[in-house]
Formats: sequence, C-alpha cells, structure tokens
Amino acid sequence: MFSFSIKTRDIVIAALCGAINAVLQIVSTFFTPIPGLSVLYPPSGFGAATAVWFGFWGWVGAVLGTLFAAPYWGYSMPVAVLFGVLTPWEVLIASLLRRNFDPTLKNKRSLGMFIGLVVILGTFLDALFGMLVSIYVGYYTPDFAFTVAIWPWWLADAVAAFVIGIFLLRVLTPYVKRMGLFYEGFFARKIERS
Amino acid sequence: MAYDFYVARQTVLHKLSPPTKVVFLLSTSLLALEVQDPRVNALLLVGLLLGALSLRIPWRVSSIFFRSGLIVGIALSISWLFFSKVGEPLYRLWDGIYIYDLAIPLTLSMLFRLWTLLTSTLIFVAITQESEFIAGLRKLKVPYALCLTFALVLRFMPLLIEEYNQIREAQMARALELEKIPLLERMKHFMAIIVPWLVISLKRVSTLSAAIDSRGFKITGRPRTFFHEPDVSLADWFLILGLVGLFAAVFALRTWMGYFVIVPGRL
Repeated sequence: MFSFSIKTRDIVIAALCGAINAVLQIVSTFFTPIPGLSVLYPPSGFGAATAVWFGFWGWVGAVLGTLFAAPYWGYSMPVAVLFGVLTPWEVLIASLLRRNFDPTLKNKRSLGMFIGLVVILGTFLDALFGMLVSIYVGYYTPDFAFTVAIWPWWLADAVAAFVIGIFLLRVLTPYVKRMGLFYEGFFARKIERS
Repeated sequence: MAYDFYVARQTVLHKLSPPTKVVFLLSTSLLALEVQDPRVNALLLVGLLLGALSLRIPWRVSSIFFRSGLIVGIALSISWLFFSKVGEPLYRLWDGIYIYDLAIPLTLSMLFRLWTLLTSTLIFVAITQESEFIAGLRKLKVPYALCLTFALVLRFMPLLIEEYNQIREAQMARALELEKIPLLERMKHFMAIIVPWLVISLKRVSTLSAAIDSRGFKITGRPRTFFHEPDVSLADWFLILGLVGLFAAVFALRTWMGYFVIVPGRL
C-alpha cells in the first residue's frame, strides 16, 4: 500500500488537483451571503473526491490549492502553508480510507462511511485545525474561534463535501477509472501483486 | 477572475535575484509573526507599504489583497476587541462582556501583522515572475519534484481559469447565471459548470505526462543542471544575510530578553 516512487503522472495529477483546488477556492467567493463567510466551500468536496481517486496526490493538490489561493483569502503565502498542510483532514481521511469503501458510493456502507468519516469527522477536524492555526498566527482569539468562527467553517466544508463530494464520486468515478487515472494504492497507481 | 499578479517594471526590487525575493517573503512574514508590539509591526507595515507604493501596482492586482485584508481584518478586529480577555476590564459592553485594556494594543498589533503579511506577499507576487519563483526555490535547494509541481500549478491556473470562464459563459448563453439565482439553487446549478470543467481538465493528465516522459524526464536523486541559472550578486548575498540576521536578532531579543511581547507565551 505504501510503496513510494514519484512518477511524472503523480506530479501532473498533484499539480492539476492543486490548480483546480486553487481556482475553486477563488470561486468560493461566489457563495458568500456576507463578505468573508462562505456558505459552500467547493474545494472541500473536490478535495475529498480527488483523494478517493488519486490517494496521497489528491491531498498534495489540496495543500497546493490553499497555497496558491492565499491572496484571495487574506493569507500570506507562508501562513497558507500552515493552513494547507494542517487543515485538509477530510481529504487526508478520504485518501487513507478509500480502499475500505466503494468509490462510487453505491452501497449504504460506503455512503455511510464517507458521510461519517469524511463529511462529518474530517470536515470537523478541518475546522478545528483551521481555528488552531488561526489562533496560533494571531488571527483569532480562542474564545472567538471556538464559539463563533468554527461553526460556519465546519458547515461550509461539510455541505460541500456532502453535496459536491458525493456527486463527483458518483458521476465521475467511472470516467476516472476508464481514463486509467484511478490510483489503486495510497501512492501508487498500480499495486504490484506477487 | 484572473491569476496574474506580476507587474512588469524596472525597479530595484524587480532586479533582486530570485532567491533573494523568496528570502524576502519568508523573512518579512516570519518577522511579522514574531513581533507582538504594535509600534514595531506598524513600522514594518509602513516600510512595506512604501515599497509597494514605489512599485505602482495596478488596482486590478492590489484590490484583491485590499479586499481580503479588509474582510479578514474586520473578523480579526471583532475577535481581538470583544473576545480577548487579557489584562484588566476597561469598558463594560453588556452583562459579562468587557473590553479589556490590553485588547486595544493587541487588536492593533494583529491588524498590522495581518496587513504586513499581505503586503509582503503582494510585493513578492508583483516583482516575481513564475519562472523566477521556481528558480528561486531551486537555488534554495527545494527538491526538484516540488519545484516542478509548483511550476505546473502556475502553468495550469490561467488555463483552468480561462476554461472555467468559457464554460460559465456557455452556460450563461443557456440562461444559467449563477450570480442571479438564490444561494441554494446556485449550489445545485454549480454542478453544470464544474462537471464539464473537471472532465476537460482531467483529460490533460495523460497528454501532459506523456509529453514530459517523451523528453526523457525522470525524477531521480541526482543533481540536475539547468540552461539558465539565476545570478546572485554580492548585493543580493548581503541583503539575504541582512534579512536572515534581522530575523535572528528579533527572535533572540524576543526569546531571551522579552522584547516585542505584550502577552508572553503567545505568537
């Protein structure tokens, strides 16, 4: 599962996921009823789907997306590295657990696992770590972070992971498999079987 | 929606070598994070703002930073002014909610820090071309696989933005205008844009990786050679040493002598 050697395709996939993620982060500003508060955060849903398709490389894409969309969200690039690495938990959980459920989420067990562990737990950890980083760099005080700011963050991520993540996995997984892009292992596209 | 921040000018800042520009971004950001004293942060911010003004950055670019700085600044001010219980109660807002005496300097300090971080990033992206950014990272011994990934992201982004806009316009021609429909409906209709956009984007993976492979490219641990190597002049080395030295001095003064701190134990 954890054989590791970087291929050109891995880099291209990570870069493409990163670029899409960054563009989606910029697009997220269209879903803001009040300035600064996004009610839907599409990169969360897209990241969860790419993590299921591409494993570790989907997570790398989520990190890169946060880094390159930083100016649009009021983060400097060095601070964005912290947010990028420490917050996309739903993406990391999806990439680690992907072999335990059907990527098209067609059966109840797979759908339940995805909703429970990625949509609810993963996005909650995302919001929690987002708050911890925000407190660490001085953007928020602990009181404000854990009483006010955490809930819209969690909600925006969870709604996106639920609506966009599930939709993309159901609609595009067969296409990704047909294109030969689906990764069997966490790092590797094909697992060598003896 | 665009992703093109570079401002072509012939200023002193533009002429810095790529590694110096990367070190400038890192050191100014770390300095801002290290200092809690609002006077020092204000000084750093003014210095950087003067640098940014000298670049005559168009409003198209600076407005992105201005807007995000304003929005995050409002949230940050509410957070520090009304939710930081540091020092003695100064003013009673309503039952149990006070503004504390240290909340005001801390709010100012964090605001200046936020804007310093944004201004240093603004200067960096305005004076650095994509190729320079990658060359700078390479010169600072960042692994080549990571440099290539960064370069590809920067290459993909304008393409993807253009395609996104094309698909959005095509859907607008079919009477789908995301901006004009209610928020919940907007989420549903967003799929009509995102799915074709993703399909087109994913098609690129095979083509591009085959194109790179066909040039004999391989990720190995061996050192690589490049046709263009960025020149690092003596002045650049002095500037790099100066920036690193300044950060080290501030770090030492804060850690061992307690300077630049309002609330000890916090960044």
